[in-house]
Amino acid sequence: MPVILVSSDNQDFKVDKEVAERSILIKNMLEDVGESDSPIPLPNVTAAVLTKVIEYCEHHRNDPVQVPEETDDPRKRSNDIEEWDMKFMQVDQEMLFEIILAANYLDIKPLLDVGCKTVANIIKGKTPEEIRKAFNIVNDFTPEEEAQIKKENEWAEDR
Amino acid sequence: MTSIPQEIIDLIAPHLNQHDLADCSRVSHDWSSLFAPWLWRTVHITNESTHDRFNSPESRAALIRNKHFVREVTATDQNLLLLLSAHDHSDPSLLKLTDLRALTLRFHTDAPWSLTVGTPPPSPAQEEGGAEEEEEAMTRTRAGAIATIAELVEVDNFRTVLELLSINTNLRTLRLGKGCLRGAGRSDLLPHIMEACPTTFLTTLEICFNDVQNESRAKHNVITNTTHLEDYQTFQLETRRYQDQEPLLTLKQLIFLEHRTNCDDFSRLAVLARCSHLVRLEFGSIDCRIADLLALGDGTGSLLRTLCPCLTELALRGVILLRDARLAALLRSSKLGWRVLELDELVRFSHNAYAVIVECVSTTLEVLRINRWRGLYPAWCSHLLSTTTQGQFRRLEGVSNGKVDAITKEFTVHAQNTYEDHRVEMARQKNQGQRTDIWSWIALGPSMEYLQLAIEGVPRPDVVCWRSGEPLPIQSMSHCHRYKAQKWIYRQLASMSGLQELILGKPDLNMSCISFRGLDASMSSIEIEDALSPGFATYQYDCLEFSLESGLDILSGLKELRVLDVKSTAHRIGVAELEWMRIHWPKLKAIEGLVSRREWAGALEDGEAVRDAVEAWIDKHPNGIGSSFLCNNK
Repeated sequence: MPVILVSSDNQDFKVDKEVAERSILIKNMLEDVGESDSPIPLPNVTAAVLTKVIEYCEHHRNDPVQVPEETDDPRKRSNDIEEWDMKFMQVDQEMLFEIILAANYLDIKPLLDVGCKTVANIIKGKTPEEIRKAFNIVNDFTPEEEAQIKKENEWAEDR
Repeated sequence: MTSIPQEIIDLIAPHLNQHDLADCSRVSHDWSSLFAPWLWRTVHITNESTHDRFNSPESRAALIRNKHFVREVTATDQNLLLLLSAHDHSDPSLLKLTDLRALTLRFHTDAPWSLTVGTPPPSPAQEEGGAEEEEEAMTRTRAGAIATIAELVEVDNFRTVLELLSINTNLRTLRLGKGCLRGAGRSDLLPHIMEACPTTFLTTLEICFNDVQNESRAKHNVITNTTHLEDYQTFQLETRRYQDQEPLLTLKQLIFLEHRTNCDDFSRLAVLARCSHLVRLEFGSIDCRIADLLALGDGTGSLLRTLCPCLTELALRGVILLRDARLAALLRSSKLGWRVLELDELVRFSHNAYAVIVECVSTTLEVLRINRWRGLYPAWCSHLLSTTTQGQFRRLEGVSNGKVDAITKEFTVHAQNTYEDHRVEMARQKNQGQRTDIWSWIALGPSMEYLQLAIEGVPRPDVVCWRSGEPLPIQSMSHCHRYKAQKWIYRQLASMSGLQELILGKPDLNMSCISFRGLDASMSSIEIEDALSPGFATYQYDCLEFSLESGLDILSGLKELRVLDVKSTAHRIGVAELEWMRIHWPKLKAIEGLVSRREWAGALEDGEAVRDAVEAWIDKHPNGIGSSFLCNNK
């Protein structure tokens, strides 16, 4: 039975229940409400973002439920992104963060993970100025502050 | 752009290293405060350059401001230690460091400081100006003025450590490494540290009693029953210091780090009396008197068994000079039976110890790691592998990585001999009407996850071996025979249906050695090989190959395989094999050590063509199994 999701800008999305339930938030909602065909409002997600999120859930509809691994060092695994996911994440930075926030709100752990890994990969090896450019961030430090914080953190700049 | 909530940052930051985190915190005010908890989470000041940079007044001020974020610390001098516990009286709102999870102290042996009980604490009035004075003292030390060294020693860093320990109740790991506990006072300091140590969560404790040459050593190098009993009594006396202390119920791992033995110094061993729940015990070095004490106690039974009944993991590092029988006795000191044994280098390893290891493999052992099997007879390898197990055995690590040493006997199975033995045994059994396959590798069953094993002596008549540009004489061996031995080995490997990592061939080709010899990874394999021979580890031509022709298909059941390492072997992996692996080993992410390519496995011209095809295939599968192709890092 399909489920109707309503984006913040009032657009309806008809998706299979199995797909919608990739989101733990929606899954729990559906369980609480029981059999009902009333649409589910998602006030924090715009239509553009929801389209992407649904695309992800469609592609991963048959994935086994993720078992959390606490033991592994996450630093080792950040380049461990599937090819499809990597392509999927090739969006502009604004959208990337929108997807991450949506995944966080909708509670879709694997999407959240892939999003965060993608952001981390963008950050890696970049200078502060390059990071600002990549994420469209305004430098609000005065030159003095910048020099100060550089000195403070210099010990960590090894390698 | 919109601001990111801290909870998202907390998911991104673990993927970044310290350098990246520092850069992030320099992006904007917003990012600075978002990343601060992660930047200051781990403070490892281990080498000279970080140490120098950390000594700037800005860095130190920042640490004092952010120290409540600190979870893990490695300190190589006392300055960091003092900063972490420093009270900044000018700003009482600053938070203390109270959520430390791991503390590692590692001082240089020649550093002017170790843990020292200094002069009595100054009166409160003096203390007001204390922090500044300390800072000054530190700056001056950097200049190397000898006069200030004496001043520094006066600093009561020992009290600082005790205080730090007592307020960090979440501490999981405490490592008192090199240089902390040395000199005559060390055995007095340890009980105090143990007393201050929070016992709620502490799981790992590492102690290094510094490597002081012991004068009394010569006196006691022969162990008689008398010294034996004396040692036991000394030990019992030492444990009295701990008898009023609470047991360390959460402590699972205890490491005695020192590499030189402290023959009759049992004071650190006395900690064992508090470690009733210990699971893993490691010795950086073990001498016969400690071994005897632990294995025999007062002569009535194993002390280790009594003190630490939960012990299941033992690691003995360095060259183990224990005599065979003594090592065997020590290896019998687990009440529950060993699950993990790590033995670096067995010099006097012989029948008794081997028998215990076989016994362990057949009962409780899951992991066996012996870096150098000096005492091992070739027949023992196959015999060990054919030990019946209870299906617990999952990891065998036989050779040391990164070192190429001709004297070292690695854990090597000689395929041809093993196969011959197998045939003889089968024939004998057939004559007697029995049908048990005793020479198959029972130990390496479906429970295996990791196997590191050199397989030699697979006869390869058609392989051209090159030495200094000349082909070596070809061995005389029929094709039919060669394939039989090869397939027999394949069948043994095939029984390990749960195998995740298969590491075959010689130890790692050390790239630093290569560059030392004026080579680099971009050279062709023929060039590398020519330059490496003679007198250096060259590729094995009589090893297991990985070709469909010789029966690779037998291994199609290894569905869990993630890593295949064929380092330094003439493996014959061509495009057909790569394609086969892609289909049959869906989890395979990397074939490591594809340095030697297929050209050695046939005529040179053919080989060139195959090599080009392999490279083309690897280029076409960027995220596939060829992505770690060693020679491909152009």
